[in-house]
Amino acid sequence: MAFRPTDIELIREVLHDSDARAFETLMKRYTSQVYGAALRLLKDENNAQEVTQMAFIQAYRQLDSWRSENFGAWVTIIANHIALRLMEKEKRRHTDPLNENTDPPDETYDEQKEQRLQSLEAAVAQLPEADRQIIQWHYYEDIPLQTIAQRVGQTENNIKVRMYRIRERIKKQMQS
Amino acid sequence: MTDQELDSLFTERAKRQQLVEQINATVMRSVRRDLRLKTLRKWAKLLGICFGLPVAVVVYIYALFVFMPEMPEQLRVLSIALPIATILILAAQRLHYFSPEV
Repeated sequence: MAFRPTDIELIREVLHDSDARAFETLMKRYTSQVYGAALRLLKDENNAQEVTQMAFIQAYRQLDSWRSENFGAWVTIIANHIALRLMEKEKRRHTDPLNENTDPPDETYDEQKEQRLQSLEAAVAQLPEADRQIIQWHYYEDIPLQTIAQRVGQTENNIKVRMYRIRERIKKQMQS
Repeated sequence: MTDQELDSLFTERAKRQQLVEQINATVMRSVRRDLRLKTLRKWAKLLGICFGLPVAVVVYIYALFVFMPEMPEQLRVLSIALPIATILILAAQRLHYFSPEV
């Protein structure tokens, strides 16, 4: 099993060795979570993206003030603060009678879909590394099952059965 | 949940993953820029201490050597006492804020 450094170890590497890759690893763990939180508040994908970026940049610059709480929760709090400030600013802009150039709110946001995406995210995260890799190849890299079978040294039928089991496991996880 | 629903959810997740990667790339650009600036500042500080400080001290001593004979007594004392006091205050400050942790 591959070595997976803890958040604290990664933060120490960033602070002591100025290691940008350590911060990248740390960020990759929580970007989706922070983005989801920002999206729930702002209900606008562009603003949520901007807030997530700002939150991580701010977290990086204030990393020496981090006090061993959960890193993801800490960045989410930063993102929430930025989002609330942005919402206040937007509110003032909308109530300003002189300002008529107001953007309409994003109507594409779907709370239910967002929740399902988050639970899918959690379900995939709980899969064993090998199964996650198969999901990655099949759904995100569009690699045919035959090629996947060759890569993992199994028959195509085995992979089909394995895919079926993975899907069932994900469904069960999402429903629980 | 049907297989089709799960498939469409995976498609959505793929889009989200792309967006997340875009966010990560933007943040990392900013982080690397910050790091470059930090390194640059560190080197500038080092060069300043290694070369700037000796030059400043030499210039100051040379100026004292040239102008001291024409200076009034009080200004002479002040011109020597002031740099000494500055060095002592800076040293005291360093000691006060010193921490063995990096």
